[in-house]
Amino acid sequence: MRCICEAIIPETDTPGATTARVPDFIKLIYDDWFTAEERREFLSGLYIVDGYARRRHSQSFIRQPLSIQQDIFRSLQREAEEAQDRNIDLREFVATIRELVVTGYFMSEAASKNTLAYNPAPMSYEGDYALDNVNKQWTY
Amino acid sequence: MPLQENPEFHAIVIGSGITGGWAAKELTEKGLSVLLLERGKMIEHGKDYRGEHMPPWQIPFGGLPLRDLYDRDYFIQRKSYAFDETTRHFWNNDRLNPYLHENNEFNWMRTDTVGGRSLVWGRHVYRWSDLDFSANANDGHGVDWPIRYTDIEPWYRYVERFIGVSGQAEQLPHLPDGEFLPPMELNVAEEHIRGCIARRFPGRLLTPGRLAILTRAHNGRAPCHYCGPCHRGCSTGSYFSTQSSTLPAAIKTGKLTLKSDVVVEKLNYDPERARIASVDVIDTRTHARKRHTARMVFLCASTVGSTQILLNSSSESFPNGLGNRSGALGRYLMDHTMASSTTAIVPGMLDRYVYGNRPSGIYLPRFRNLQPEREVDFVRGYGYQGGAKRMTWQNMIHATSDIGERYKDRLSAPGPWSIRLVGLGECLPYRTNAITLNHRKLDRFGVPQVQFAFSYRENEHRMVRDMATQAEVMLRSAGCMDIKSHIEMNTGGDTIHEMGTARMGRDPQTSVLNRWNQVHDVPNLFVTDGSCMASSSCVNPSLTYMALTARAADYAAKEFKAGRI
Repeated sequence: MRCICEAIIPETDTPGATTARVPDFIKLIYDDWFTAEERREFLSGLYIVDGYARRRHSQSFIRQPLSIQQDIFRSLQREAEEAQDRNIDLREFVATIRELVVTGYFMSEAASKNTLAYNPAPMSYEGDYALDNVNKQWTY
Repeated sequence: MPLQENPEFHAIVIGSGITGGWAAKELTEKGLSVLLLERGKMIEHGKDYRGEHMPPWQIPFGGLPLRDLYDRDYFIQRKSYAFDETTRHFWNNDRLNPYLHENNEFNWMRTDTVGGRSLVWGRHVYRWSDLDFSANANDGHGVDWPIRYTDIEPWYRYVERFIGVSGQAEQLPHLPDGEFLPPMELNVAEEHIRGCIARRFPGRLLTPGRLAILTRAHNGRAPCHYCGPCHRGCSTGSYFSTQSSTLPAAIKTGKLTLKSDVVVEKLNYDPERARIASVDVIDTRTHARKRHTARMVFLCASTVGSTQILLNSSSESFPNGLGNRSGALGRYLMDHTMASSTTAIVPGMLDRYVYGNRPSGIYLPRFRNLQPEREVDFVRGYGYQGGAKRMTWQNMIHATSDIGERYKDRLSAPGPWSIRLVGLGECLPYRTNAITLNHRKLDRFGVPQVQFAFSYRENEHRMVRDMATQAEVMLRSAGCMDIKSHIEMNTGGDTIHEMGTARMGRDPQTSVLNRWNQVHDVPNLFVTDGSCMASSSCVNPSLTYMALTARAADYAAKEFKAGRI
């Protein structure tokens, strides 16, 4: 799971998904928010990712370097999209994991304060403000 | 029933929301002792705004809905835009407070707090004009309003001066200007659209929303600090609520007694004096019953809440509900349609952004049927609300199938400018859109549950189609791209502008209230919340409720001092 998170949002000059504790967020969602059915679907999605890695690269997903992990995820995503109706489970898994990783990441303290620009009390409003002054999206 | 010679209070105000707060303020400031009753729990200004300034990382489950809990206890309230874990403590528990609607046709959005929906309201405030007050008389839907703009104009001014309204004067006869604080400015994309509409569509206008939010210090309240989500509560009192404004004013007089956690069961009518003699209440925690007495009653329990109390206060004198000799009580329920949403991308301006979270948006006032001639296939009109913003990561999760560094960079930067225009349409008063009491289904206090029958009709549907078409035409002419309209008729109540059911009118045979919001035949009973409305206009109603309440309180206090009530 940690590897998928980092593959989607890697560490750059700003924190990556691991630093932002996205895996902990997803574990919380898995344990306390998912229904039993969603937990089953989510786990089988993870097995599909790992199975794909083993078939194509003859090693488990977590043993691949980041760039290969990203390639695997992209190929899986492409396959899910091309499969149209036939592979609904995989499509839903890919969409779910994107949403959870992105939400967990941008709602985190690390991303709110570093990747985005955090200003809880701006004190004024300007409707025509040079993007250069901040060069990031505001946290909201 | 024996008449109380020495009532406990001069006045009892039922409900502490937008209108109840105003009634309590006005009556106490005029020297009357007031008992203010509220069914919900106490929310202390500041201290109980639990979600205020909560940073994203403290919001439980990243803001995902707590599905099991919401399905069980908040299956109606969860539909509100202002319902989430930062505000849930304000909202009604649907499991504990059931109502009936056989076809799921009405979403009754309620808070369960002192301050009522003034804590979570949308804060848009617009004056009505004579286009609205004479609409029923002109096209024959509903009964004529017993007042006109000149009757209410001084009270609009009075209310605006107290609450503080930011807005821009535009000299539109059908949307009169108010006493404005400086507007919250349009952003660069909205300015662009405003210019295009002004050039190509004579008579149409995009203006900053007029909001009960302060842009500078006003009456001891601080200006907005632009944190964004007002509905979580505002400890600086920068938007109007009972807690920030009317309640402190009423408390200051020393004449107010506030009781929370008390639901009103019924009003007792004394036929000899033709007056309300007392109010029966139930403690919501202990279910203990009690009777309070006063010289007059202001019913401000919200549209549906007030009418429920009147319907439940039948007596030999009023067998079909208190004040219901006309048969109009419970009928002519309205709610604005909010069924058309048009979105688009505004190209360019990618080096421009905003500073601060503006808690407002735009208003595009009504432009249909301003003249008596009909130019379209419906009567009355609509306005748009919405606004432009640069897309956020929330909007762009699935905008690309890429992942990795480029994806992260894209989501971290502001996206393109997008704009949304949502139509709010006037709803006609229909006799069969009604609430009744079901005496076989009682709530936990033994009070009959409210049963709704509600549907939108052909006029509303036709108007909604025009909203989408005209929004598209305007946005296209402004050079917008990727224009999409979503039309889906909303459920009644969704706009949370429910009104009617105890309408004002000139004729006691067809209306419940007179021109002073006084129940025909019951001179010491006033109903000043949304239930009094004889038509709905298309603008947000709260400012009009406040003005009518202040006006009725002024009249009631004069009648009281003259010894007539």
